[in-house]
Amino acid sequence: DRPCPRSHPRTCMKCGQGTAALVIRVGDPFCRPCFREYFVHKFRAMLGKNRVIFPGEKVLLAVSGGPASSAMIRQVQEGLSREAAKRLRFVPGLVYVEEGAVRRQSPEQREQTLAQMETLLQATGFPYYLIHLEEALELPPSILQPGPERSGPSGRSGPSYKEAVDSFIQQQRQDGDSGTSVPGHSSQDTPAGPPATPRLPDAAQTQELLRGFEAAGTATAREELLQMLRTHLIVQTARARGYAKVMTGESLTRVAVKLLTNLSLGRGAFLAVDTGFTDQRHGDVMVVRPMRDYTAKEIAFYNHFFSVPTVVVPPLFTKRREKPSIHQLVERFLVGLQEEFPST
Amino acid sequence: STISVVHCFCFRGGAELLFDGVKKHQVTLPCQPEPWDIRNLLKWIKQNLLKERPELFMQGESVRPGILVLINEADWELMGELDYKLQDQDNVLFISTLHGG
Repeated sequence: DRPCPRSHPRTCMKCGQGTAALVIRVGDPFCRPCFREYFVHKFRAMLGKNRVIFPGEKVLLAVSGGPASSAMIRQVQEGLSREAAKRLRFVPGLVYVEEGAVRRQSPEQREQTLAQMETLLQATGFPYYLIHLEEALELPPSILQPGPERSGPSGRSGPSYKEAVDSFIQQQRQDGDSGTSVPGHSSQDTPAGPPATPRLPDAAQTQELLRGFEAAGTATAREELLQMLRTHLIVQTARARGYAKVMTGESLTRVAVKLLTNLSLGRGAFLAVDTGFTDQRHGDVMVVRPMRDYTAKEIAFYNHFFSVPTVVVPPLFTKRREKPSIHQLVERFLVGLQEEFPST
Repeated sequence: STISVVHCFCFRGGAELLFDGVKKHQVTLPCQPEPWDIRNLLKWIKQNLLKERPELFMQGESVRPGILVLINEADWELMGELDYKLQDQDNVLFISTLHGG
């Protein structure tokens, strides 16, 4: 057999022993266990390096059922369950925005998606909140104003990250930390017990939402509208439930798409907040993007190898013979670029 | 060779939507003089399994960028990509990474 021109050596470059299961970046073969370590380590390093999540803090994970946010849930679970010294130390909650109305799903399909998501969320044991996109119609105008910046968990001028960690560790010692995996929830959160089956919104509300989307003239505008409404619903949930931090699952690929899309849309001024690790435009609620260093490929492989559950939903509706949105074009461009020139 | 081979293709991450929502296909590829490599396999899939919008799955003779290919649970980049020669009972998995959040 002639050697295949486009194949890579089959031994893991990290441990030098295992059979490589995938190629990361440009020509780096990794075996499955080394890949897992690499993936998990990257998440913890992201949080550790950036030092914005304080110990004991409530963090709302915004999830979509998609691969990146599902992988994010798994990293949080893994991180919380480690031995006490290296354990992640925040208190997670989950929020899911059901968008079936604008994704061409029938009521039955929406119910099915909701049921699947609820199973997924319940399995984590974290408190979770399910919202319908229709609820955006009820958002107060105040959502558009950034909330007052919090001055830190103590209410006085906030402690530095190091101080917060030190005092947390001291507190733990006093309380006799038993090292159990999931931290207790505050009394205001509903624990994930058997909830009422979520009902879909009124048909009238769904119609009103759809009218709003149909009025958006282009696929690009529609995409922007969806993202904006979703973000506002998530921020509102965070505020209402006492979360000062929100984690979203934007991967590197997704962040890059956003960057170029926003440039195309004339939003260059917002590049830093739109794509950075932290986003403080909402004032009292900070958005954190711990998945932004993972490529879509890494996430897909991780989810497959380690059985991370996901729920697939159809894309945002488009009209017939409509030109693709800028988002889609940019995604197509970037993903193609990644194929041909992986070092870009 | 002229052995007919059985393969299993799976479609994930939304790729299944292009194949009538069917995630798993077990097929016996017909005997033919040309070797069954991934290149030929893709041609066959396009002709026989792909129900709609071929451009969402394929680009030229390969898969569209954003579609991952795993051969027996390994990245096809390790196996020669389109040139990989299929063996009996091989499992090929296609995962779409587009629309992933």
